[in-house]
Amino acid sequence: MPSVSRRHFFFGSLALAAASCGRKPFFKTTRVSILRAATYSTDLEDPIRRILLDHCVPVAGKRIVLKPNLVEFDPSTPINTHPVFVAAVASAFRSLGAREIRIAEGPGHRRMTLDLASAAGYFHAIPKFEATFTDLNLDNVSRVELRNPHSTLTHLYLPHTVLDCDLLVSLPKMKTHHWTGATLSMKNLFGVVPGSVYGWPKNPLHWAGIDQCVADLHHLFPNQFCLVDGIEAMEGNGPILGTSKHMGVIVGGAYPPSVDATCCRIMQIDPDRIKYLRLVSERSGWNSHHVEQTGERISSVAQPFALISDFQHLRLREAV
Amino acid sequence: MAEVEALQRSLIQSQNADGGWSYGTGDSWTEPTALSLLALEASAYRGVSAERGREWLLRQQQPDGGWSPCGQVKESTWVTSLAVLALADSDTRQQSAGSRWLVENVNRGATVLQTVVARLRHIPDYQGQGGSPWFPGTAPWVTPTAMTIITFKRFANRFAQAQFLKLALEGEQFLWSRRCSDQGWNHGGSSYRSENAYSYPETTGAALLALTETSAPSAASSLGRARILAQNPGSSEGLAWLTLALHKHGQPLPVNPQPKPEAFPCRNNRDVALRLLALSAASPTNKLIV
Repeated sequence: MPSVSRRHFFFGSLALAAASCGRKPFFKTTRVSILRAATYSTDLEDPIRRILLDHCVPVAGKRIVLKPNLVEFDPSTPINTHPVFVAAVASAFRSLGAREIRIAEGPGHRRMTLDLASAAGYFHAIPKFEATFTDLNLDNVSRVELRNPHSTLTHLYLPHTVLDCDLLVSLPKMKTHHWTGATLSMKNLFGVVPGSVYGWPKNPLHWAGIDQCVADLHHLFPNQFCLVDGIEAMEGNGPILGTSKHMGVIVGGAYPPSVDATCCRIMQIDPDRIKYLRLVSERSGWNSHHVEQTGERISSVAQPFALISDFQHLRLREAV
Repeated sequence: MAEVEALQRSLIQSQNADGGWSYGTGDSWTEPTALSLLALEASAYRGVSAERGREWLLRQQQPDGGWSPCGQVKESTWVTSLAVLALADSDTRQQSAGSRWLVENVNRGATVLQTVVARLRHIPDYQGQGGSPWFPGTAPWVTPTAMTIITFKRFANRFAQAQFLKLALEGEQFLWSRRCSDQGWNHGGSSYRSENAYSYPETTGAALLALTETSAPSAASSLGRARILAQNPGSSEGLAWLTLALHKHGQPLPVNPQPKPEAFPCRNNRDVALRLLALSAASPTNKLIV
């Protein structure tokens, strides 16, 4: 029997450790729920509460920040997360014992956030909206270093409201996007980057790589839950100039890439062709099939979203 | 005017102990501080608040000559234009360093390498010679360009330096190149994939405020758009910028319907300062009207 010296053992262990570091880590399956909600006038709080309970989301005693997608207001198109949807999410979290619920957003084009929210119906739909809202474009900020970033950024200045919360809840609108293909829970985090530092639009994120920054922001916020407003969605030249598409779904889950991959399949977009999802996959070992689907089957709710000519290659070819 | 005095009181009461202004509550930021100083000066305020604010602003100047948005941020940004404008005429050394920073950050047009990198990364159009960015090293946009033009024009008037006038005129060319099809301005993205993008009241007002009528290839249609937008400016900010721009170009606010300031409440200190500047549009000490 060959003897193993301490020196051989040491260097052997070192080699094994190095090899392990080179492998992608094991990634367990994450759950994503799809629930039907035909319109904004139906009871939305109940299905949202069911999703939160099904996913065992730790809510009691926590400080929750709800991050809707509020961009611009045009009454003819569903640009923003619907205020009734946001109100229902707030009620669901409150009913499960959240200590504090804040709604927070930093729009990327317009500076008059509260006036946008007013035009979009937030003041009407959400009780005491102004008292519970933080304009992330104007919040106090702290510098956060990016470790091993995908983008060319080395650091970001981020608002205290999102840095200090226990759970960041991304509430995107299900939309196509004319630069990234689809804008869902991960891209929605562009709204936490403060315009007061980076401008309107937050152009340094474009220069550092839009998809890369989406991936970097995902890594910065490990404690998230996502609830996607897919009741009235947007197809075509999103996220602003697209057209309305009725989908009648809410999609929820704790792991943003899995939620976004599921939404992509619902939109009949291939998640493996969405660059920011590929970046997360390359780094983390996650892939778009690491999803445990609950609720509705994707095939029962999926519809092809119109895509601009440059993004026809994103179309999902496999059966959903 | 009672409203002017009320707005002045509001600003003075919301001044931070360090002399600066926050947007609403919390830390002092360069933008609301500079706008508050401009507003107090334009509305003929005489008191210690302005001097304390000016001292805060002077302390915030970065070693590169520019101003960062707030104490936590180390990079100088577009707010340098407002800081330079807000400083007293006696602060020549600081203004000179700030104006150098602004000159260095005017977009000179894309290099071949930048164009290639932009295309590889799917970055929206980089072509924007003469414009100014929000953040150094990125693309130019309407609002920072408009504020930089106003600052350059003031410097051109004060110091009779042709360089500033040339840069201001190049900035104007950039603004015209980013006009929307409805003749107003939005944030200023290129038309690629956004051909039908519509204009905003606030950016239309800011752009027109920076433009000189005589240089305009078709200013009348843009002023017409501004008058339409002023009927429903959407926000206190929108109403303020449009009021300033229409005053500068000798046009009264629309009378039918007359925009109602009470319908667009001031949401933060920046809004209060802009409202005060709009009410003081005719003041000879209003530095936004160049």
